[in-house]
Amino acid sequence: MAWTPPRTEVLLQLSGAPHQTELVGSALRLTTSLLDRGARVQVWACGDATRLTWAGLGDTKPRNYADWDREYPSAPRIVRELLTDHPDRLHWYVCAFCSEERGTADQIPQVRRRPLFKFAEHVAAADKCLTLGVC
Amino acid sequence: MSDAGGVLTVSEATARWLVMIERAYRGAVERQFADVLPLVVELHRQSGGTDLALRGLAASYALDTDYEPALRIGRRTLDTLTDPRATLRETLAAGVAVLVEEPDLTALGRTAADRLLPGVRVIEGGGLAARWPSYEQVWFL
Repeated sequence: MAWTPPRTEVLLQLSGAPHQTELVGSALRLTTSLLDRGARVQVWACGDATRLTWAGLGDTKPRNYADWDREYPSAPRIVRELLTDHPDRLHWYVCAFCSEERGTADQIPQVRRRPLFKFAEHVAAADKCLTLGVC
Repeated sequence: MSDAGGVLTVSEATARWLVMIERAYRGAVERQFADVLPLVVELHRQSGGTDLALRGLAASYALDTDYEPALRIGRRTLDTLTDPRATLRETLAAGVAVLVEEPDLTALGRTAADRLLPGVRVIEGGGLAARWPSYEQVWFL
């Protein structure tokens, strides 16, 4: 039987690129707030947002020359921890086409790459869909 | 450069570089310390002298606030977010002259001028472009 996306109350389609605006922070705050209220959430990352969970970024950011001993968690680590804390209520999907087109196909194992032509299945599996940013 | 009546005027040519920052708040979660301001300090070191002009919303970097840059994401409290005010204090301490245009400051509220970080200089509105020829290089970051 073919895999189908688990039902969620909310689908966040995250299309805006990181390192441009506070969109990523807003998306993670919104996700946290929804989870706090008991909702099930799926995130679908498109375009440069696929870089948020790119394995090549590692667990930590490069060292800060001005604060050598301080550790700064990478975006993949922040997302991974969020997923680990909510294994049954948070799902993070990455558009396979976008990730290959943007060079981020090597994703952390906690996220699931999905073909673009399956996106409508995720929309159908959510009560509400919210798009954040543009590719 | 000299201060006259609280407004900075440029009276002679300089070999300094001018860095303009107009876009603010470019991703605190993903950038953290790797923001644009530390790059200005590094350019200051490499160039031998850099002035920094904060325009538009970036002028708010120069305002003191009691906001603590921390964010809860799931069970993690992320307290390594970008902290432009703290970084701007370090930028000033490194010897970078920090300039803010008066209209951009006014646009941030009536009390904005009272909350200006010590050492930040106010210049007249629209005056930056006229000063470009006095700088060796002008960079938009």
